[in-house]
Amino acid sequence: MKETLITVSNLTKKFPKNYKFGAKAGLRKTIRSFFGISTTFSKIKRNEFVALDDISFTVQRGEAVGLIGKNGAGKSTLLKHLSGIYLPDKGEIIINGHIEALIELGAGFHPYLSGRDNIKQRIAILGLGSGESKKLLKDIIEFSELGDFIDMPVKNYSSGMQARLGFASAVLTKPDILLVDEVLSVGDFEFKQKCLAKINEIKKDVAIIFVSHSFQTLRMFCDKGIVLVHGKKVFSGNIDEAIHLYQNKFESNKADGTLEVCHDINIHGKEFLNNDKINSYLFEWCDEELRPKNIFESNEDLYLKIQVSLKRLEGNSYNNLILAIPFWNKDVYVTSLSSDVIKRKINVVEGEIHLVIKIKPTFNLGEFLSCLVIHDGPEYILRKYLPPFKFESKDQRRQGMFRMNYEFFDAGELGKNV
Amino acid sequence: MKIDGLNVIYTKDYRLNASYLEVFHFYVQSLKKYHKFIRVNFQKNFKASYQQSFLRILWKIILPLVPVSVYVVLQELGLLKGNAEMPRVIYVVIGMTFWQLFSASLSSAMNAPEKEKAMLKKINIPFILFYLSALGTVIFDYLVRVVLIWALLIIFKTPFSLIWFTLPFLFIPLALLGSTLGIFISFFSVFVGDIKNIVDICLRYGLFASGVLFPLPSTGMLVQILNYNPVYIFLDNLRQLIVFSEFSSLKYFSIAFIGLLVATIVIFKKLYTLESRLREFL
Repeated sequence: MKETLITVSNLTKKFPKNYKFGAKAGLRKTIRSFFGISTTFSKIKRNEFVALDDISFTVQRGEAVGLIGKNGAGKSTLLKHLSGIYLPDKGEIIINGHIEALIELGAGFHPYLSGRDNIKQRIAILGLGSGESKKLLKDIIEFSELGDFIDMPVKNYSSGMQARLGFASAVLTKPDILLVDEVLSVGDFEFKQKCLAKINEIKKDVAIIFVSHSFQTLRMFCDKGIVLVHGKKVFSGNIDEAIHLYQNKFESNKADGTLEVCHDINIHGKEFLNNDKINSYLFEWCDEELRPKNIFESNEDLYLKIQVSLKRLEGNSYNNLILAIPFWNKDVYVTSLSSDVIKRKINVVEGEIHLVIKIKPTFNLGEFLSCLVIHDGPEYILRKYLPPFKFESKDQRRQGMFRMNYEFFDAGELGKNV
Repeated sequence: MKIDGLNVIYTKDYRLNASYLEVFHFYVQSLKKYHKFIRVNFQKNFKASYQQSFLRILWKIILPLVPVSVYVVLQELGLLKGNAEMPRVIYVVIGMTFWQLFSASLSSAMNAPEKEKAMLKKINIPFILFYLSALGTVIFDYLVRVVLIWALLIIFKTPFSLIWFTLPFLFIPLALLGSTLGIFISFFSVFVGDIKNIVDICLRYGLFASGVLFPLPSTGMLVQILNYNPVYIFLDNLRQLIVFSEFSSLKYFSIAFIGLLVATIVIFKKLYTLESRLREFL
């Protein structure tokens, strides 16, 4: 049985709504504690609100849990409790292991110190020996890819650079428990992929709690999901079910996974290739006979031929590959396809992917752009634009971007009065 | 039940019922684990204090020299009336050195939680580390001033004593007093900002009630109270010790020091209990 690293039982926390009330309450609690008197959990007052309401759950080693909820739902407050920054007003939290928390951008960094000095300070907390500390410092600097900027004061870092520094410092210290709160939403795409790959690498040895507004990231990354609404846990279970429930019941502006693919894989985004995992690739649009083609008749099927040669890595059998293609017409996101949606496994034979995708489009006229994306678990390993393709029609009566199937009926044919 | 280290159970009053032995163990473990952090944080404070300056570390020497030079000039002009036993400039410089040590220890401890709140709110590490690293800067400033005291003792032909060599360690009573008091005040000043201003006012008046610049009056209503002022007791005894190699009142000094040690232990235990409460409000 896996080791339970986090146990949260009936966690309840209330906060004051204003500073003055908070100062009075805090002072009262401090004076009580100073004289050794236990604090009592009183009823919620007019100037207070419940940030966390009777939350219970466990997380085991190797498990990744996604926290889902709107802003103010209590996700970050929960993480702060887990890292011991806040204490519960009621209930208890049992932590077994070394925690690293990426709770806020630049958390724990001194703005006037250089990145290097800040890392040293972070390493100093771990109480490692001199040799280990030096090696860790080197590894963190290397992973962060900050180059010469590592000796620049952190106050001059961009948010992306701060994310690099924070992530590298947290993950490379080999925690038992990793708390990640949206910090990966900033920074460039390539580094984000590198971080996700690193988390994927350490995932089996770590208990991870992940806060993200990106359902795609949560879905790819987490096994379990906890939905928080106004500090209450309304669901805990499979991540897909958690997202589904949240989107359908609690999210006012419903967005499905595909739309998010569009958001994540923006047409203006950069191409990406993980050279550690991919040797070569080839893809082209074809006709039925698999002959290269870029201009199609408006009712013609498209075929996409894909060949990817993957590097053989010890311990990675590429069992979790996901292939997706979003389509755009100019800047307008049109649609997408995904192997994940149709639950189609991407087969890798001797390190090679040979695949043909047949698409029966409803595109009518116009030029379309698309982008081939391959994930290995949560990590992007390839994102390349496909050659543009065009739908044309000799029939002048065909107009518009899409084709619809339609039929005409005489009134009598339907057996109804018109 | 409560386990410190890698395994911990957080409840609303975790730490409240910890014994003195548990707290002692916690601090020893923290110091062992975080000694590098204290050093790096001290270096951070130290570097940050001259980060945007051209003369950098030289300021640490120049600034203490300024008041000393004023006293030397006043002495040379005959405006500082001393007595046959102790040159007035020595009296004032030693007094100011220990007073600054005390007031800076107090201020740095009192302000440490808010100064370091960016880190304290985001990383769960013991408060004591920040108090200690802040104290490091105060002790460094004291050590710079010690060199000036040595120089003045020689210049003013004070009879040499082996006690002079203990000067770098004589910071202990007043630094401990300032820090303990500062930590105690910080428990409340975090919630009520006015307390800091009140402390500031007290320090300004305290300068004249602690025999720093002038000896305490021998008559008057407040004499008896001032004689029990621990800052005065430590300061006066240490000054006498440096110049005449003897305590002015060993009895008072010992009682005050033992009382201080007891108070320090109690306050450190309270700090252990209260730091989560303080962190929550910062």
